[in-house]
Amino acid sequence: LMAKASRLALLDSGIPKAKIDGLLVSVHAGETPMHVPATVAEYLGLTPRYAGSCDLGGASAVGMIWRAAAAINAGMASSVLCVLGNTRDASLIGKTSNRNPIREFDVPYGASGANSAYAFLASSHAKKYGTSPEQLAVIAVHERNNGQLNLDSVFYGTNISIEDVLNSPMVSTPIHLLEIVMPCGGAAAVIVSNSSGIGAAKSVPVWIRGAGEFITHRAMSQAPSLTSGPLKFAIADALSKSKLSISEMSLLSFYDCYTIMLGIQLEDSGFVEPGGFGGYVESNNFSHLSHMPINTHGGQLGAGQSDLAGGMGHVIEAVHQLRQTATNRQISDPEFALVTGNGATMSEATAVVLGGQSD
Amino acid sequence: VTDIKLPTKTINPESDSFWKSLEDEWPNMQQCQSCEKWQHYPRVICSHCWSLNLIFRPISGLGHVLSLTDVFKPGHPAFSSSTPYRLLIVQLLEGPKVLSRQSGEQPLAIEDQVEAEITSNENGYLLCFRKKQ
Repeated sequence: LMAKASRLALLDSGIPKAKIDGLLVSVHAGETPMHVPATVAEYLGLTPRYAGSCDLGGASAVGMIWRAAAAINAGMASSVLCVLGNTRDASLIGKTSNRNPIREFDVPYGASGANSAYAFLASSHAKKYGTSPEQLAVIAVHERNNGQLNLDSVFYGTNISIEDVLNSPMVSTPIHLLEIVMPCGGAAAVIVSNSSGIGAAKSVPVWIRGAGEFITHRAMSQAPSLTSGPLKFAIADALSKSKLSISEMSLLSFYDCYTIMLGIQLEDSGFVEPGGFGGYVESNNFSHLSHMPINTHGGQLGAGQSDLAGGMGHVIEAVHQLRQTATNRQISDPEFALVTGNGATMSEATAVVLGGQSD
Repeated sequence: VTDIKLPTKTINPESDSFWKSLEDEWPNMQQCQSCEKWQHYPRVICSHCWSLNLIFRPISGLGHVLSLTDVFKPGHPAFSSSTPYRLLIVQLLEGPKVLSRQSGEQPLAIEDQVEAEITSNENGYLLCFRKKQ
């Protein structure tokens, strides 16, 4: 029904489908509570540059309208589809609350959860570029080393070696247990304010210089590529809006649910060429003293993943570094940080460039 | 482990014809009569051009392996008794990509040519792929 309503709205507007680059949905779309926008986008064959859900109960519909306008005014999208719906089909009611296509077409084959999805990426990257298990494993080692300078890391005080990673239980080939984030408890919060809030601020503010977002699919089987992801476009957009290049960054604060995800971002950001992350991580660590510091708080692989708050950890670390309040792991004279987010199975990509006030 | 049931299928009105075609021994998928492109999973709308003019037609059953992984720790406990098993992402000749599982004894590698094979378990029929003979 939502698909049919979307089609009618599009026909009424006369805007071609390819011009729809934003998507707002309500909750109750027959999916698990997370990833509703990506699921609806995949169903409709859309790859939005801006997507989200609006949950304000009966006020959601009107709430969506100004959010869509705000996104357009911010330059994040040009045409936003706002769609809500539900079914009263008697044959479906009471049968299942989860009408997610993944539940119907992946789970019966034994493909539940994210591990096998990211394993497909690692298999494809190894096949295409010859990336070795050791090159993936050393990413977990570098991040764990950074976590040793973070008292809040769940792994504080426990270093690991490449052998430890490769000897940890095989989860889904070629991914080992220690290449996957450790779930932990935690919460994170950030305040975003306009310039009128700055006067009252006790701390030095950090400025948002550019942002990008891109959603290409929900299920890994529907991904346009298995060796590169939507972050390529989100990062390029964030850098372009900030008029900066990747080499001008002082910190890469990259979402790292799996070792392969960190590796692919090093390539998608343009920091190394496609297929080049394995060689880079073999000869460079991620420390605050290195040529390019990466996840100086340990990332989520080194510090733990407090569910969705783990993603905010990358933002907070970047703020600390740019304010020069990162104490024992402070990068010297940092200017800009690139922070990324990655959702579902390399499906939902977000990127921001943070730095000092622009001239 | 044996008393944990496999997750049941969540068939809906749009996808019913696909699952029924497996019972009838050959997979059918949706082809758009407006833009002629194929899609999978089934939808009420063509994901390429948003036409409503979709029909189910038999597929060739041929394709190649885009990626694979051997699962040792499944996300659902009901699959623990059959580990390790090999999951595939298959690129079909018609265009759609599907998540599937290797059938047959011959091991598969990325880029191998495969053909469809319908298998069954206590939950009914599944579309699997084996190495092309």
